[in-house]
Amino acid sequence: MTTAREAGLIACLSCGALEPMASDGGLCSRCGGRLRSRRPYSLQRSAAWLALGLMAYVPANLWPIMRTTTLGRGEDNTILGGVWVLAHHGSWDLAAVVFLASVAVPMAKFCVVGLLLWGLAFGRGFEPHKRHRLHEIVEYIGRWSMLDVFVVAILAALVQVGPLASITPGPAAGAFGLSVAFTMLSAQALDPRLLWDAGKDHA
Amino acid sequence: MTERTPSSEPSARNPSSSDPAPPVETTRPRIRETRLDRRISLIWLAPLGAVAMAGFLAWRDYQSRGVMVTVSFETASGVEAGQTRVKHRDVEVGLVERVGFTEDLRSVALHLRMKPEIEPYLNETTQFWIVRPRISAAGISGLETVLSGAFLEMDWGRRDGEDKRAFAGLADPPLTPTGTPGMRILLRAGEGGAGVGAPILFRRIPVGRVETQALTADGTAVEMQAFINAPHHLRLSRATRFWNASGFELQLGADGIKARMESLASLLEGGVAFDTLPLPSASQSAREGDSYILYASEQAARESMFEDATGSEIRLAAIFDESVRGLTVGAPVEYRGVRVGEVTAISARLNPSTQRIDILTTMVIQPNRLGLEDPDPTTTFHILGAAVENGLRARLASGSLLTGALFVELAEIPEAPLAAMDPEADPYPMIPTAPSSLQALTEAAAEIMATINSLPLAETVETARGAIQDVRDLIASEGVQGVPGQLAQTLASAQAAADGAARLLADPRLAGLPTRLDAIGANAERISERVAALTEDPGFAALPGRLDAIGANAERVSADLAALTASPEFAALPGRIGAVASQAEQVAANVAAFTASPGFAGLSGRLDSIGADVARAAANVAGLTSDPALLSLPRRLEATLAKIEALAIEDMIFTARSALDEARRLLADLGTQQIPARAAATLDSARALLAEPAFRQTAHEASAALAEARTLINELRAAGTSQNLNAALASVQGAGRSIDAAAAALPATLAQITAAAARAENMLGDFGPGAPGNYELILTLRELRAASGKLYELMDTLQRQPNSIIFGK
Repeated sequence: MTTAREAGLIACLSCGALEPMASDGGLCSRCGGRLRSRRPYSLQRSAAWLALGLMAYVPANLWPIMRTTTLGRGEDNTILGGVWVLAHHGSWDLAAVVFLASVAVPMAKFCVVGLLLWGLAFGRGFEPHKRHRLHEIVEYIGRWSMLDVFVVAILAALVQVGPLASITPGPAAGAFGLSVAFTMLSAQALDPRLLWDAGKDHA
Repeated sequence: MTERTPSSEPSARNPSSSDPAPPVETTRPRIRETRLDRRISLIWLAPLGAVAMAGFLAWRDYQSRGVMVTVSFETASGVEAGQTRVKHRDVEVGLVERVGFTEDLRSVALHLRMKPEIEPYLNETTQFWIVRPRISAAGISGLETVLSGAFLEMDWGRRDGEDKRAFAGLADPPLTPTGTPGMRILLRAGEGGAGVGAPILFRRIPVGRVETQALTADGTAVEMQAFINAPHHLRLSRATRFWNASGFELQLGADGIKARMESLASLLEGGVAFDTLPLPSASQSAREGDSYILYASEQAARESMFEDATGSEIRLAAIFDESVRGLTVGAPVEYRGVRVGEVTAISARLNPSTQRIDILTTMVIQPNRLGLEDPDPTTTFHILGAAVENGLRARLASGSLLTGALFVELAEIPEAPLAAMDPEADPYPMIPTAPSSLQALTEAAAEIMATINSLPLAETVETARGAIQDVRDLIASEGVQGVPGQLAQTLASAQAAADGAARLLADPRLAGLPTRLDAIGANAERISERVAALTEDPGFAALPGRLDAIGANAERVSADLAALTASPEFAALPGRIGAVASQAEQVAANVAAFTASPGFAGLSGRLDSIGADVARAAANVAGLTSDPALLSLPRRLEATLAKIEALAIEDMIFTARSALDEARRLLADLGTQQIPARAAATLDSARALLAEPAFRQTAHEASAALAEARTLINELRAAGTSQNLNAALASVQGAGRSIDAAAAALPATLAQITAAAARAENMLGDFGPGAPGNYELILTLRELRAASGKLYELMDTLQRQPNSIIFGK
């Protein structure tokens, strides 16, 4: 399999036009987008976003994501605490959904992106097709990771019955949102073409 | 990381790249160089910034996390770590971070994280308490915590006190938040009553609260701390009196039952009311922390006019020699009826010097009630000492004769024996005492009883009994039994006499009487002047010699009398004869004096002419009083009075006797001119009589009659009391009947007599006080009126109680 780079060409990532390699760093003659044979510092950027995502993920799990006030008594819930409470009250399905959306998926994203970066950085890992598949899944699933934030937002909007009962978002909600955003940026910053380049090395 | 990419570049080598060197080897260094230029992307600043930011936030959080404070409580009910807030005026100032125990597990320790800006207020004035729903008589509080859960409230007194980090939490919220405008005062009471939280009422409006209640250190009183809210604290002054408004008051008085109720809250937990009395000290406003007495009732508070509720006290002791039964602790100490203190203790102790048990009475005196302005004890003792030297003594006095309650009286007794105050005495300065007025009274009563005891009552009774016996005998006599009849006659005569007198007095001719009586009076005056002249006569000096002669004659007579008395039968008569003899002697002396004087012949002649004048005047009077009844009036009066006298009613006898005397004197006046001749004749006759042997016979007979009378009296006595009594009663009954009969006519008669006497007296009163005859007449008539009044009384008494003639009234 020959890459565009090997053919001395650069494909515009915006419109797909092929330009000669000489215009690397210049502008696409068709759409005016910047032309890059490979995104510079793609791995570093992705790794940095990933680190930020991880950093945000810590308080998102330690801080309460939701404050429930019932008859004047406030109760704070962390993400895992909420899962536990749901499971404790018998809502296994809900607990499973929340756990998947808020814990399993973000953790999986961290792991997958980390694994891809590690593989690219040290020339190890899966063969290029599997890498590409993993990358696509991560990008796809990223937008669904905000499930927990959505739940909190909806509950906070719905349950406002004055002093009887009210739900307010906790500080972890913001942190969790940031964490998701950072991981998405991380996945986006990773130039998928590098996945194939790495495959070439091993191939 | 990106090194992988350049490492793959040689294989993907583009000949048209900017790098002129075609071989892979040549391109590699270029890429490596560029990579070396910028080996690390700027993107790494983002995570670094995030780390820095997180670090900064953590540092700031650490910086602003505030101070840790530990508060211990009995229980932590409703408190949750990390949840329970600490508030001040409902603004959050901290959070309970941890709930634990104190080291000994005796109480709960709450670890609070306070906001840093609160730190200056965490000092010794800071208080913490838990706000919970609280329902009391005073109201419901902390209701909001039912929903919100308990929270801790904190309050502080001032900023920048001595720093403190460990506190003891209050079990109950302070009743008055710190900084509330108002005044805090102390109330002292003998016993508790108003509980903590009890309202303080002014005209039944709550203006404050009792905050604390505790016994004083010595346990003799209860001290309460109370807070009066502004602006009511301005109403307090030194003249303010507090009393226990127990909520319900029932008064039973002369005007019925009065019930009075304060507010419901004060009914449940008591209350304190106050008012300011109109005293001079009302102008001295109260100060923070002033102490007041809490009186048991409004009445007691209002009666404390003379007290300064914040006054000082001194203690005195006194030893009373008498029994202190009835004296109680709390009994008042009074000075001239003003309460100046009270008894605080009564105890006994051995006096080592006298080996006697002393009853020691301790009392407390409030000097300002004695009018001493803010004195120190030394001054007070000095003043008291001076007063004691002037006779001030403590003595017991009776507060109530019914209950026998005693109180101590500070009395000024000028005649008290000298004593001084002992300021060094143990345990308190000793004030000397005086016997109580009660004791003096008892002593006087005992003295009177002793006097009565020493009276010869038995003898008196005996004498009285003898007197009664005599009266009985007298009444039993026939003469007395005949009295009523005679009395009736006498009364008839008296009536007739009164009629005559009335007629006489009504006679216009009597109008001339005063002038004539005046003339008589003038004559009498002249006589007395002449008599005076006579006594000054030089011939009068020869009188003694003649008196001697008369004495010789009298001696002879007495010798004869002695011969007569030598006879044994005569022994019973000597008293009477002696009296007659002495009278006769006197008369004789007078007569002799008259007769022996050389001017006697002339005198007698003049006397004769005077006598003739008087006789003429008398004749004129007689002619004037043409009614013979008037002439017989004195005699009849005498007879009447004699009979009344014979009734042996003391009063009457006295009156009658005085009347008789007056009558006799009148008669004597009427018959003055005849006396000398009569006296001489009588003397001669007496002498002749005494010389006659027949007289002896008479004397003998008289003694025999006396003996008979004695035997008769003895017989009468022997007849027995009952018989006598019966006879006496029978007589009295008969007499009573007669008196009844007479009584029917009596009132009219007596009225007439009274009227006549009054008229006569009125008329005679006009004659002028100087004339002796006039005076005599007035006296006579007055006696007559008195006699008739007595008679009326007697009649009345006899009519109602016939036997009173025996037993008296």
